[in-house]
Amino acid sequence: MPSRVAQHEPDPATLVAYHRALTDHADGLKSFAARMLSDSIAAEDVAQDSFLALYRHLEQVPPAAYRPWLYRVARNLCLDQLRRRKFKLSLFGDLSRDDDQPFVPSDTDNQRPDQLAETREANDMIEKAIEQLPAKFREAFLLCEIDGLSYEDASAVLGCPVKTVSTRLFRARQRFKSLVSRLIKV
Amino acid sequence: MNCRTCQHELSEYLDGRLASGRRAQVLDHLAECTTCASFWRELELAQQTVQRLHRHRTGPDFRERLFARIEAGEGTPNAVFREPIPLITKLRYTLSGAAAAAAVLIVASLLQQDRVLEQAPLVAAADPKTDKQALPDWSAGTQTATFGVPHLQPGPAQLAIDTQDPSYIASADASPLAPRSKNSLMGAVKPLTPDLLAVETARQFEQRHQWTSHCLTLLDGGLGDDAMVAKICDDAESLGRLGGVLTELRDSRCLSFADPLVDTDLRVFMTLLDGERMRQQDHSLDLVRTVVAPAMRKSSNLGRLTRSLSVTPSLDRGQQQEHVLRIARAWPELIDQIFFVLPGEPDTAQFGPIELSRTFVFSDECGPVYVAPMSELQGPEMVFQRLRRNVQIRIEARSSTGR
Repeated sequence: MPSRVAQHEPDPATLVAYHRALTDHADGLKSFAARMLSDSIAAEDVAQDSFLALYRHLEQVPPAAYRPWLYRVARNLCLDQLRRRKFKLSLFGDLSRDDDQPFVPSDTDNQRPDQLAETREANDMIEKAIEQLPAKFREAFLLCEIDGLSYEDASAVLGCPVKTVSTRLFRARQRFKSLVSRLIKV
Repeated sequence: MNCRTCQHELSEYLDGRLASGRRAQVLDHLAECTTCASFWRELELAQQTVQRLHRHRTGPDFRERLFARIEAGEGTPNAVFREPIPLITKLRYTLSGAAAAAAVLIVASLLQQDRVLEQAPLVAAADPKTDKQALPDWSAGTQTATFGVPHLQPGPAQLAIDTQDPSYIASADASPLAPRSKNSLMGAVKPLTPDLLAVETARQFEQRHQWTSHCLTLLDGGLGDDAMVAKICDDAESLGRLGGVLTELRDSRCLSFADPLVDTDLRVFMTLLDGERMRQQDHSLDLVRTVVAPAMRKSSNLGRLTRSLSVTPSLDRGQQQEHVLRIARAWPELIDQIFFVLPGEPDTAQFGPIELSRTFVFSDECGPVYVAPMSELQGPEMVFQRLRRNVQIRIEARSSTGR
């Protein structure tokens, strides 16, 4: 249960920066969490909790660092949820999930890549491919490839050296490429 | 260059991170190797594919729920600072800790044994009691080995963005005595920007709207008097001004409202309030009943205006200044209404660096104008007291010179 806090109103310039962060990063944060958790509703809560945490730490975080800070917090929250989920699964099992089924892309050979990407089927295929990436590679892929964070920011979010980010991203791209090979046939 | 290295570097090249020297080598390799050339094309296509993915949008009530939680004083969720450690990591560090502890104990015991052997007669070495004393204490070793784990437990420092820069370190439970972070916003008077003006105007508008609403309820309950009627009319006039500024800022895309109901209510409010009639007619109960009350009743969503406020990044510096000046000219009372105008340039000796961060400057024809937001003065009493003292000194100085 989160504690109750008494806090000064942040100074106006900080409040402006906070509002800007809300405008600029709320959707990105939700997308990141949604792909980490494969759950859009839980992702909205993660995004909101992250912004709540930022508000409570406005004095300690310079505006230039809001973005990696928010992603770091969102990642921690996602990992916590995944851990709980895993624990529940180990206790009760989950009969409804079909994630363990092998990924079989549908027959889309007759369409061009740009047409394919526009279809829902193609989107589902891409989302599924991202979901299939191992957790560490997926994080780097989501942060750098989809959300456009720099290697340095991603390194701060993931708590690993920049070189590791680069390697994980490379491996993620390799796997992703082979998973969506039907979509990107040259 | 082999294909594996080339492909790894192509991934960095895709992000524009490859040094020019390496880039030339990679491109040379690419010209010769069809496998890597095909890898590169696929990499590019895969990236294009990903960029077309839809972005999840937050719900329309995202901001409102967030600010409701903030206002309710909800603290940081506990899981924010808790990062699960994989079992394998725990095990690895525990084992490495155990191995290190065992090594220390073995070395210590060997040294001890040597000393025992040196000091005790040869017969004593065969004594089972002496042997037992010389053996390492494995149970103690196990306890020592677990000490490695708590250090791995990620605490608030896990949120550090750049360990080299102390200002980036975010501590969840920082002691009030701990040095404050070097927030870049602190320590300098900042220019007054349109987005800052938007936030301040919205805050003032919301406060006055809530207050007027409260007064109207009292008036309806028969608890009002002439003074309250006058106050409601004054506040309604202020609301009209603030609403006008908000409308202008919205039209110039400096701000928007995430909740469309707030936007609609602002339009309705500004139409019903009828500024001309407010100015021309006497402040009377009739004016309150016929103009103010209907406008207030039809705009209940404005009481939570700031929750759905969304400010957009400002234009360049020159345009920002022009915009602020344009607003200050169009609504001359505005600056006095939402800011405390400082008598002169504040200095660090008079204000601390934190108070300075709460003051802003813009330039008009007469030179720079230093202002501090009214809403800020209600918070940090220290600033208010210093400002009041400053003004008091000026008043005394004026009265002593007979002006």
